[in-house]
Amino acid sequence: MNPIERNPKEFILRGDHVSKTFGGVLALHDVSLGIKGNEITAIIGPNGAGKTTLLNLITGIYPPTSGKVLFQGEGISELKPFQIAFRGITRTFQNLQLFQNMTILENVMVGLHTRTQSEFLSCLAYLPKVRREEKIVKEEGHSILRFLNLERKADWLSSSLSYGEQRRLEIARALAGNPKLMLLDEPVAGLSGKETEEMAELILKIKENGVTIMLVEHDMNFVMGVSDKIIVLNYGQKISEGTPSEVQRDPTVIKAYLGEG
Amino acid sequence: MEKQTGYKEVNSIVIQFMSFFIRKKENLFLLLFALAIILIPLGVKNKYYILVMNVVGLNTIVVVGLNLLIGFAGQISLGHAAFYGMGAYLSAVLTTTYHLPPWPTILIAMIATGTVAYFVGYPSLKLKGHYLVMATLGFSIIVNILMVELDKITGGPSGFPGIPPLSIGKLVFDNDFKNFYLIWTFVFFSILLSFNLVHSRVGRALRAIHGSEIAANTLGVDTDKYKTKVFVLSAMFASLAGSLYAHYITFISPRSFDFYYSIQVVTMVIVGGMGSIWGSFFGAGLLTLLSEILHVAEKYNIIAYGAILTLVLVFFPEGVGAGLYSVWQRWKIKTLTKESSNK
Repeated sequence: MNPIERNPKEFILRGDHVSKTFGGVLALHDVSLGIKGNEITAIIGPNGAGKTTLLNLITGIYPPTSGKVLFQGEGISELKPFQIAFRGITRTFQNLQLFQNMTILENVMVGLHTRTQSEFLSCLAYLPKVRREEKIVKEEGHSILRFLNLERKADWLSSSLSYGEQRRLEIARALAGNPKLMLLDEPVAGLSGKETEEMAELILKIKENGVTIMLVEHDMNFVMGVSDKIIVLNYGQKISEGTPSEVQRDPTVIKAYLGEG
Repeated sequence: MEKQTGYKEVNSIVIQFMSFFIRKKENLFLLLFALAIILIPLGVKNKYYILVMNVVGLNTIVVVGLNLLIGFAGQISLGHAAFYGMGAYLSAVLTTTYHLPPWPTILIAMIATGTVAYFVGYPSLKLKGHYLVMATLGFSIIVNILMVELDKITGGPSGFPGIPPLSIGKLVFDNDFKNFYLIWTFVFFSILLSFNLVHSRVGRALRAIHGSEIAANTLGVDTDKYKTKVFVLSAMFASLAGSLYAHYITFISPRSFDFYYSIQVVTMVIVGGMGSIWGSFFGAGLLTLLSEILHVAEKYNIIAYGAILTLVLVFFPEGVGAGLYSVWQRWKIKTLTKESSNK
């Protein structure tokens, strides 16, 4: 009956009857969902619907109260955020979490952490291995910044960027780890119309490079424009899912957003 | 509002100038530093000056290690006097009472201190918030009490005399000049190693933890492990300095390793500049000299420390080195502000 249970192989990420309570508050209630590989899936819903909670559960910031999250068929609900990053899931944050004490290039270089190995002792001794790694990390960092059109400012402190550029830098940093799945928490919040258009182009370009994207966003024009599939949450429950046009026509969605007429 | 943005821009430009300057010239600076170490004793014949410089050197080792913890990883320890003291007492007791060879003992002391630091740090660093401060504070008080109370082993409050000096073959480090070279060689290498660490994957991960622990974690940095490891490393730096101190002065007492010393080294980190390796050296130098000068009025010493810390935090929150640099660049700032406002 449930399409998710019928063919689970197709999905890169699956939520299986996931619930999360904070104290007495039920933030997510029995949510099952599937994210298809190499698609853009948007999670929408009114404020407090549990969208960010869902992203936090997937990235291991806290574990689900019940239910499971599966990535490429393996359970990841018990893993810590850094372990999930190594599996190939990275994310951005709604309230920017840049390393303001570091340059733009260095921010992206931290993003390359999962692709490098040097640990304390070899770094202290600056072994040839570390030297080689540093060179690669620097080149790779520059090429990612080039992709995101930030290379000109590589040596600037990240706090000196404009707001829109800071959003792009968060994406650059998340992209640096070569993720299979990237979670974007309100990527166009606070951006101008032109910046929003650019962000849509960028996200489509990232998808073309083979990265699956799951995003949370309030800007409906943007969501309808970029998404292959939309999942609607309301009061912690999934109330609808489908293509943008299907969701737009769904009466339960209209009711959730506009109230009963 | 407008003024603030302008200031922010200028500030970041200044910092960029600085980082460019430091990276390109870093090796040159290290070379000059090594040259200075070789040449200074040839010019300075006053034993007291050399003694003070040796104390500066020992403090620099502790402060450089502590700065990796405070300035880079953003975690605060108020227990480094205990690690410094553990190095000193382990070296003293094991070589004097049990006649172990001094050099391997320094290593043993470092490993033992690092192990203890692991057990102090690991549980408190797993918790969110500044629990490390409380854990290290309590720990250092316990260690200091043990130094006083275990008088059969440590000599108690009257101290532990007769520690043998270090030697390499026939060369015995038994005077201030010889110890100058010994201590400052270690200072040189602790600075070199710290630079290596800072400009690598691990150093970036540590600064990322300081910047945003949650973001670092979601990018693959095992934040608990890195915080614990850098804490252990900084305790081992302190232990090394403690061992060198014991073999140099040949007498140690609990008073040198009390809570006041922990405060002193944290102050040195802040005055020198958090996250600046050379700043650690300046901080250690400045405050060691200051406390020597203030020796004539010892009871005002602590007031002066407080006053200086306050002044530095108010006027140079980035540390004295960076602060003075930006003062020196003031004319440049002015021209840059004009340029950016013209745009």
